[in-house]
Amino acid sequence: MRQRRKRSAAITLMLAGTISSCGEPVPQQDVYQSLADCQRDWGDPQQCQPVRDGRYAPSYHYGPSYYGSSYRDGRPKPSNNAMDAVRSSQPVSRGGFGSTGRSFFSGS
Amino acid sequence: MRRETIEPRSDWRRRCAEVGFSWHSMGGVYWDESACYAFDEAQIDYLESVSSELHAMCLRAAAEVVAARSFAQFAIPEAFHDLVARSWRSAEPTLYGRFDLSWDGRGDPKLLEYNADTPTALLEASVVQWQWLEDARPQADQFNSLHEKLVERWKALATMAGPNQVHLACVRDSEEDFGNVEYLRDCALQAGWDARPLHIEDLGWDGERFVDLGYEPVQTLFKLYPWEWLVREEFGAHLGSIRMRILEPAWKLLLSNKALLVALWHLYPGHANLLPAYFDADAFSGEYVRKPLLAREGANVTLKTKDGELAEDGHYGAEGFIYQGVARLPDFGGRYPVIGSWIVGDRPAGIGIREDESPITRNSSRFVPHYFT
Repeated sequence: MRQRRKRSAAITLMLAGTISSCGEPVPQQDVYQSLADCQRDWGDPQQCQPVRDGRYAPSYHYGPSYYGSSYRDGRPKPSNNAMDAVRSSQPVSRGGFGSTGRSFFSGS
Repeated sequence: MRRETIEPRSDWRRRCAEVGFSWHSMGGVYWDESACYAFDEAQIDYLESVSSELHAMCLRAAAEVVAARSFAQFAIPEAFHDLVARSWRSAEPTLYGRFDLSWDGRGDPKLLEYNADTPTALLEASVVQWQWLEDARPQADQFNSLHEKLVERWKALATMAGPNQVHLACVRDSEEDFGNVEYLRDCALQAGWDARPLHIEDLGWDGERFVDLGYEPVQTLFKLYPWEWLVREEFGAHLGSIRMRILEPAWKLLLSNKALLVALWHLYPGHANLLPAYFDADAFSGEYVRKPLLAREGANVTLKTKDGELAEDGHYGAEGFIYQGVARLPDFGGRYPVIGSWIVGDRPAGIGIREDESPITRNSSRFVPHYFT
């Protein structure tokens, strides 16, 4: 008689049947009328940067980039202390991996 | 070992879908339960012990390559030689790999190759054929403890890796790759990891580190994307200077390369589970198989016999070839099975069988379940 079985005793899956998404969420930065408003949300003043891109008055401040919620039309929704929110423009490059995979099988 | 023709379960499509196996009919028939392979216990014990020994031999071969710095034979770009050596010397942990073996249940299984970096057909081997066994052969056993070993391994990796956030990445447009990665993510979640999906194309570089779509630094990256592609693509230049952990580790560049077969034969000449392998076809007076150093799914493999050549198309081979002795896949009435023997961590964990009507296993080969008594 065999001492042990070589098959799994039980298999439970957490993700089967669910649909995962790698779809791109929208990073946003909230826009505050003052540094004080920004600090109210983020605490550390170093997280808040004066607006220098001309989109708002120079006395306004951007908060850091984060993932929040959005309106039905896709525009990011600002926090209650902010007067607006914009899509984040953090300088990150993408697409530096994946080019070979468009022509070949990745698995083996 | 024998091939049995059987009646498929009437609800097999639904059963496959229940465990997330959505590519069961890829290319027409992929999951094929109109047949199964039957083994006896002694055969399975032997496969297990051969797999364990082969894995240990491969690790020794990797150590020898690193010690001799013979990376050029593996077509590893010079800029990455130190990365591979560092990865090996610091014993960066591994998750899994799969040997492809030629065997008909008699004599000695022969190693065809080691898919040590990006093995697939994992969900099929771990979950789908287990579910088939439960439904169709509940009294029998199966060489398949992949699921619990994968969960255990992810737990062990969490202990070794520190912060236990992992991003699991694959290419955007492959249902099969995504299904394999989602299964591994499931195992990682069950092991307590904060496991997140990512397309490899979406991995970002912020000038200092790799980040996900939320600009969060990627601490550990599992990638179902071959190392030999990573090092040759634009972001490859950053790989030598970052602290991000990568699964499989960089030293798997050595085991997933067909040059490993030459290194193994050099270290273990005449070993019962190896085939002669050289960088030069002149070493063979008769038949041989020519394989690209870097290739997948049988592409650009040429079988040369006294009767002529059988060649598979493809776009591989630019890095060179190896020449291996011939161990024909067993012929079960015109079906040629190859045994995929899985290693999780450093332990054998089960088998999956794929069969084809060609003696060269291809991407379109069908997955057929097995049992033993």
